[in-house]
Amino acid sequence: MKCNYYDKILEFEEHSASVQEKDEILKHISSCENCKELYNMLYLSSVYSSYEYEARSDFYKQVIASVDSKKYKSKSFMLPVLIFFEKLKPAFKPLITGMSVTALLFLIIIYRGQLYEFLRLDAYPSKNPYNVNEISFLRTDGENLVMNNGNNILLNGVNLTNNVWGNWVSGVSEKLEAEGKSPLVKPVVQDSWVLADVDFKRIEDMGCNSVRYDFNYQLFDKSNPNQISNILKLKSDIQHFYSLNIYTVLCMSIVPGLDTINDTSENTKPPLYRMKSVFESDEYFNQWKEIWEYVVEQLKDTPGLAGYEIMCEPRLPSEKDGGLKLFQKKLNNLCSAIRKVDRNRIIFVPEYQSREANPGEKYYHEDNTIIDSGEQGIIWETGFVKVDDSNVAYVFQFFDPYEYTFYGKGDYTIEDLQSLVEKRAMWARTIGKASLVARYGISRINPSQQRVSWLQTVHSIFSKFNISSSYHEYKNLVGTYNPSNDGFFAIYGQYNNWKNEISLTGNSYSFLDKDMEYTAETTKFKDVLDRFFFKDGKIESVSIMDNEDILNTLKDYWKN
Amino acid sequence: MNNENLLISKILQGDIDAFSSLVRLYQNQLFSFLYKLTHSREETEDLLQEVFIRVYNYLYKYNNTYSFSTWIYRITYNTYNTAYKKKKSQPVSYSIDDIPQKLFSLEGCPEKSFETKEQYLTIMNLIDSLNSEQKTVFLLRHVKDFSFKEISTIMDVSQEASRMKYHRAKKTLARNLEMNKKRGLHL
Repeated sequence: MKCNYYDKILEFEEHSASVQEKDEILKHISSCENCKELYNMLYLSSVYSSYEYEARSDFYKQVIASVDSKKYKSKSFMLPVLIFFEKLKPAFKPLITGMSVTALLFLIIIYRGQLYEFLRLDAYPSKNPYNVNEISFLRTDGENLVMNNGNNILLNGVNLTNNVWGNWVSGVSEKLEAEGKSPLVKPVVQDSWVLADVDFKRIEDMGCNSVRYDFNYQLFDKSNPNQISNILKLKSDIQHFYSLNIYTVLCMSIVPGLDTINDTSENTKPPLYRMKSVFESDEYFNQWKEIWEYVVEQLKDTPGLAGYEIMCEPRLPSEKDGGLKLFQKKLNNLCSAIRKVDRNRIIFVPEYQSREANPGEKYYHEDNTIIDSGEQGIIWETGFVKVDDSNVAYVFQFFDPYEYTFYGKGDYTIEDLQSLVEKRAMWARTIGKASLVARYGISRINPSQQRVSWLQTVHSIFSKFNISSSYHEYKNLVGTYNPSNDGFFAIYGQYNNWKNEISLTGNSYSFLDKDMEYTAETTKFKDVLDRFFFKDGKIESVSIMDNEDILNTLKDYWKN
Repeated sequence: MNNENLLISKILQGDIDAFSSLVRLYQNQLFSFLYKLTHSREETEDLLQEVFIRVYNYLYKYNNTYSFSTWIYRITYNTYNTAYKKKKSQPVSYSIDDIPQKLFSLEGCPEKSFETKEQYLTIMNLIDSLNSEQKTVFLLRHVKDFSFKEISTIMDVSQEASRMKYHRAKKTLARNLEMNKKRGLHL
């Protein structure tokens, strides 16, 4: 057991101890062997440590012979100056440190933009060693989109619709349809087939520099239990595109309330029963705003993100409900909310695609001209409104002429198409801003040569006006109930549902029931299936179908 | 002006004899300090020569508002430290021939009977078993009665750190003494 004096002896210092302390210790060690040994060890250690060995008596001569004996004689004039500065050194240190910190802060303030971007880009280096700096932070500069280095850039790419409109869910969709609602059920988690690794590879091989990435608001609504995993997936997709030197424009194409999908069920209902839009309903507007605030907060530092397209194909409320003024006010409110979260990214503001008729106005419905008597019929008319933010660009859709691109009816002239683009481009230019084509395309109902011709025509117009464009669309589902002719714009088709429609038997297949077979023949899907998806007794789930020429035309455009 | 400052003043005026006096004033104590760290006269002489050359060459930088002995010990410690870091030599135990004869004539020990060669050999090996920093602090504390403030300046550590290292050195010595006793080696 350790003696109570053990620690006292350890702390005992001969030269600083009082006589009383020393006597107490000496008295104790006379009767405690252990402490005596400790005391003696410490004492002898101090004796040895202070013992002075002697160097060789002539050692100093060796030292003197090693130094420059004239060193201080030759510097007699300079020496007082040197000594003076040496004495000032302690004062120099804080002075120089202060000046350095001030200079550093000054440089950080001046170059904060570049520094911020450098750090951000460095965190996610590009996979392509030859194009490391191709992707940079984008902003608008008057009528142009510009990169960090000040060079202008056109965002030319494809639209990823990502099946935002939803799926037919047996048992649910029938009920919704019977209630006069849109039967498609919007997913709360993005369908896994829409963007797999192989899709990234295909998009990379296309050679475009951007994607317009559609999402539906429900993915990021606070009520969705998958909100966090959904945002992480979205962030990862943007980073994946970034690693391929491809920018991402995010578009909330399905917003709360009235959207482009449920509109098909809603637009024939009287105003009181019709679903309200984000412009007409404060509840939907606030939900729209909150979801954008969440998405922007989560993604604002993600490299490769070009900006936010706030919605797709908005509809102007009737004048009774606020009209153009309300529309503009709500757009401004939303842009302002986004800007509070992210000061830097571009906000893409869409042109309104249609408007609600006012009483007495003519509108067309099912080939009839009707005078509106308060039912707020739909007038397909487009127009931009200016928002107050400086870092914005204005986007519009281009499927003109509509009857031609959707149904292969009628014809067009280059002058007609050019005037439609020019109208938008000139509007944006008059307010010193850029305009972009958010979506353009032509459906498969048109023969390939006609589609190529239309594409080449619109590409020449886009080039003439120097505007960016996004081809609609990269990929879409095909199937018995997904006609792949009129209204089918995708480059690739994906036959996901084949196991619920056909069975494979040896080198052939058969539909699961007669109704399905009849529908497939009526919609001409059977022809598509035979030509592109059924190969050597197996189903190839993804096919470019007969869109090779379309893709090549796009590739040629993107290359230039 | 004390003797050291007078010598320094003369050296800076080009008086090489004054430097010779300064070397002689410090050579034994610095030799002792370094020898206890290195165990080798040869290495100690090489280091000490380097120390004095540095002292001479940088003497104009010495600020006489501070103690000269602290300044010169700081140079000595840095010179040793640089060489020690390069060398990383294996420790060598002291032999009975390394014990200085003059130690036996020293008085003041309460129990004269313990003053044997073997005792000093044990003490020297106990001190040598300390790590480099503990050993340096322990030696500095006794070689010139340096205060913890002076030791902190020499070793470029905080005053509290130098106090702590000294206390730990004593605890290590005590623990190693206990271990020796368990092996039957008494003082």
